[in-house]
Amino acid sequence: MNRYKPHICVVFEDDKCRQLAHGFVLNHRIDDRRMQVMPPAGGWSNVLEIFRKEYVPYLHRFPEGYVVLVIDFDGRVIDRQQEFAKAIPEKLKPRVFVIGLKDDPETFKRQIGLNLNFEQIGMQLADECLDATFNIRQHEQCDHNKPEFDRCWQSTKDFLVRGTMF
Amino acid sequence: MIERLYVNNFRCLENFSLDLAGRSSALLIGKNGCGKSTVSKALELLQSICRQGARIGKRITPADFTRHQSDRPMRFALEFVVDSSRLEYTFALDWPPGFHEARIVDEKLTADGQVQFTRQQGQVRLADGNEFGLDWHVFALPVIRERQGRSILQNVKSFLATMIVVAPDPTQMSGYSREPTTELEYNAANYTSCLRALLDRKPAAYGIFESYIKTVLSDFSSIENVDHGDAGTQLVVEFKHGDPVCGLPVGFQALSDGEKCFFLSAYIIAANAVGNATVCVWDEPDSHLSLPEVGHFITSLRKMACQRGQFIATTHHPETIRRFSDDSTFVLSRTSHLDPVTVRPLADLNYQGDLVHALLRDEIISRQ
Repeated sequence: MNRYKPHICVVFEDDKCRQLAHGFVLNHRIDDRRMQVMPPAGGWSNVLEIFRKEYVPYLHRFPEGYVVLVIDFDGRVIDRQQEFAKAIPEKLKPRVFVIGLKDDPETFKRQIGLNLNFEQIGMQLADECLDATFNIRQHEQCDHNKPEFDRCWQSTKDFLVRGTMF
Repeated sequence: MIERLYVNNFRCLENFSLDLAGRSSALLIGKNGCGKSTVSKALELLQSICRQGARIGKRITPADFTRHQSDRPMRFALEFVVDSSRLEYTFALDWPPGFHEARIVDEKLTADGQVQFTRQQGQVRLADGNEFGLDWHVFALPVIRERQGRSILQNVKSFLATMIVVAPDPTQMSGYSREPTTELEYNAANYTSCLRALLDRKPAAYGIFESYIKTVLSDFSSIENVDHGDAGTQLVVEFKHGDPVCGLPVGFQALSDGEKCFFLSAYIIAANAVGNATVCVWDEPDSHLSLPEVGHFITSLRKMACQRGQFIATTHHPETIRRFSDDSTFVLSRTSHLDPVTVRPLADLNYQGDLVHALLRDEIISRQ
């Protein structure tokens, strides 16, 4: 990944999100060299802490960088959104996105009931973003993300999507 | 696509079954000595049947029988799909007292449930009922010729021969080539010969090859096979950079180990895209790569396999482990050198929190 070109760092909470994120990247239309999926942070509060300590300075140093923070909202969407909003410096807000499932990935997987594994869910989410369709994206576990998802996609799709595999 | 591999009485693999059905890519993890590389070796043996001549020769030694039990048959079964046809190739070997070479006990090929040939020791029976005798040290599959208009056996031979089973040794990847070949060696020493064959037969592969290399080595410009007379050709890589543009030709042998792996990966991806769908079995593909490259490298090969072909890897590297889902990861383990290897999908094993942390805590792979 070239830090001097537009790129995304994905910081996520747990191992299930890892599989979702890697499924997203596996979509052949996604340029995985513009996206670095980091190791799981181990809890939403660690995601916040890592963002503060590592990614605020990183984003100041690398103006082409974007950060997607993926957390489980554990049923407290508004509270967590506000907590993260406080931690993101105003200047960096256009390049930082906070998304996640209303409860947790296991609940989401069970509720969508399509017999997909986490990686396959990630691949389908990528397809829905690329094709501007809404199937699992509008599931109640996910639909609170729509404004943030749209903002993220509009900001990153020009460099994240490619016509060919390489 | 390989659907299932069954191995019995081969080194540490006893009654070992790896179910890959529906998986375009798979990862084998486990402690040192748990049998990951032996799985590659089993596939290499199957590959060699259609590459190195039909005679068993020195491919199998008494030490290859589990705990030297050469009085019990060593058995292999490979279920795979080629052009929508479901194929199963099985054979068993033993080593009777006084023999200097393993003996084929039985051998069989089926396609979509229809028997193509069977063999009991020295007697081979074809699908049309014809029979013939064969030396019991010689595999039947590579020697049987099909009637005109049929291609099942040819497809099987081609599938096995062109399967890529590698544990590359970059120091052996010299860049020199005498003759083009489609059969990549286990240590990838003949890489340049394979690349020559691919580009000779499928020039369209170069576009994919070049695109991949440029994503990892942004100053890559081109390659050239420089004629060295009787010694064959030498692969030279041209890099260009700066303004005004300056070029630098570099002999392939002078590239770093990791860079050679990029070139190998580019070859595999290009071959898979323009030729027959490729099964690629790579023992520790991350061995020579820098940390930020590992994930992208693995993702590229997995993406390739999502389109067509299959990618099977072994690893100890945490970044590679994280690039596979629990459903595509298999955990190999054994309690001692006297016990058989067991294999379970990671999805069937419970662990808490981060997978790599759980592996470090030995929650998943245990020698108990």
